[in-house]
Amino acid sequence: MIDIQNLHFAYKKKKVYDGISLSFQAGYVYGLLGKNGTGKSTLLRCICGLLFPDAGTIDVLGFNPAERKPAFLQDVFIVPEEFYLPDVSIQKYVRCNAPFYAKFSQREFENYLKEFDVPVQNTLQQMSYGQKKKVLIAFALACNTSLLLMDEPSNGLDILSKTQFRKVLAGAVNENKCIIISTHQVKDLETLIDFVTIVDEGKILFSQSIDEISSKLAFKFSQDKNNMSNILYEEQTLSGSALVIPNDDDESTKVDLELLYKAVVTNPQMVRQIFTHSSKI
Amino acid sequence: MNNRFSFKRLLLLVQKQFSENVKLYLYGTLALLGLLAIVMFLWTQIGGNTYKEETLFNLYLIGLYIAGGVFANYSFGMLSNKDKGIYWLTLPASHGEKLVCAIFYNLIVFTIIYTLFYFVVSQGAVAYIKGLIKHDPFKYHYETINWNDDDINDEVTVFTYAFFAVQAFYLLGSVGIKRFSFVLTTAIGALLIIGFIFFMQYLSASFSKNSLSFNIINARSYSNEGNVYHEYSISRFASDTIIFLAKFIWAPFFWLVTWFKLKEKEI
Repeated sequence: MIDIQNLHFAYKKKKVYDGISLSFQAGYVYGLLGKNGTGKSTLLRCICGLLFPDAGTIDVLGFNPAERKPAFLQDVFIVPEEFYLPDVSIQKYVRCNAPFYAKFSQREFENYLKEFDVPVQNTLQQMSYGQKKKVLIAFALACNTSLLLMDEPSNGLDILSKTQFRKVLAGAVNENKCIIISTHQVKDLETLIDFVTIVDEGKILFSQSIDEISSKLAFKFSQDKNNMSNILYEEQTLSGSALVIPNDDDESTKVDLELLYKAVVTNPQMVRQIFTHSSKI
Repeated sequence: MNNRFSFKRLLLLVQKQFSENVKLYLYGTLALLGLLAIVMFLWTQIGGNTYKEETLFNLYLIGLYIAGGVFANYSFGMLSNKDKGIYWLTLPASHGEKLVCAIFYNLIVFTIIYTLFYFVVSQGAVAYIKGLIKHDPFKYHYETINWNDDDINDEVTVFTYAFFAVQAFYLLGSVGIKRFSFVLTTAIGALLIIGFIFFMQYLSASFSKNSLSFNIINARSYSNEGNVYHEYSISRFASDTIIFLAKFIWAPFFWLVTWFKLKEKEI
């Protein structure tokens, strides 16, 4: 669905991407993780045609995103971290925007709003940031675009809304849709993500499926880490240590994205070795 | 699917633009009405004893150019804000459709509304003046314009084309300039006009050195001794083409550049 080859991108003098290659397939939810300013939002904006690469190619659904053709735009929706909604009622917003999206479903939109518990009688400007974000997410999902890009979607949502968001998003995933979520708040989306891509210093540091990660890494909690070897990352807690270790014993442990991220960023070589070595076998 | 231009999408864009900006347009219209009323009031109060329709027409043109420029400069204002720009650029319509939608509101809707309001308000002022004349016919006078005069018609035609060009220029400014767009566009426009005047003066001076009088499409040389008279002119076709382009090319040229700027726009 998305094929990025040798992407170079810079903001004037600040280099963001230096020849990355990536691909994203339909039917999965991708988590894009990385430090502040590493270019997660930039990548999303390159994918939807808001920014143009300095070199390299991006192919999305067979289109060059930079051309911003209507046929491309009606099959891609971006939910930016900071967004704009006009000062109109929800009904009017839908009346104005939905006709541009061929696969928009009014029934689904209403269901999502119900799930999100959004007061539909208010105008968009009268709503809180979180409520507006929920309207935008509901609209984005109801557009049924093949590609949905979300930049920090859980920012500004309260605890209950985050649960609603996970539930709604899980229900919206299907084999024809690709969802890419850029986030810092990995805990919010842990249960949703199928693939993890970690971006750092203009490079793709790590890109693996959750299945692959859980087969190669074990996420453990131990009070006696002395028995453990090859620790990739450890974090002291009040009652012991949270550890990331190679999954040599084929254990089934739940992937902790936060620990994974820290392990990859602090120990990239070893993590890469584990995945490269195993894939050769 | 037609990715270049679809009338269906254009219609949707026009509807969307109106629905999302109806409040702004309403307030803008009321503000325009108020300003026109103030201008007309001042004209009736300080116009002296002889009122001229020509003054009214000049006021109409000044207002049309200034208000039209401001309105045109607002057209792509969304692009100077990241959040609004993303909303605008990711809407599934082509750049051409978005540009035509902006031209429609600027050139057609704005001009019709401004002209209509000006007509209504100015007719109120004229009615007041006619009342004064009726009351004291020896003191007050109202001079009308002869709209059948060819010179007046030529003047109206030139100002209409120039208005199209000015609006298109401000439209381009709203895409190309992020901050203080109106001020900077005005400054750049003024510099271009001044530069053009200086260039023409320079050309004219160069021709004068050689005892030639020059008016773009031809040059004449006179000599008193021996009554020598020469005229150098380009072909009729070429001169017609130059005049045609000078009149009509500016607005389409600025629209074309705006379209390219929209295509290149990154946020």
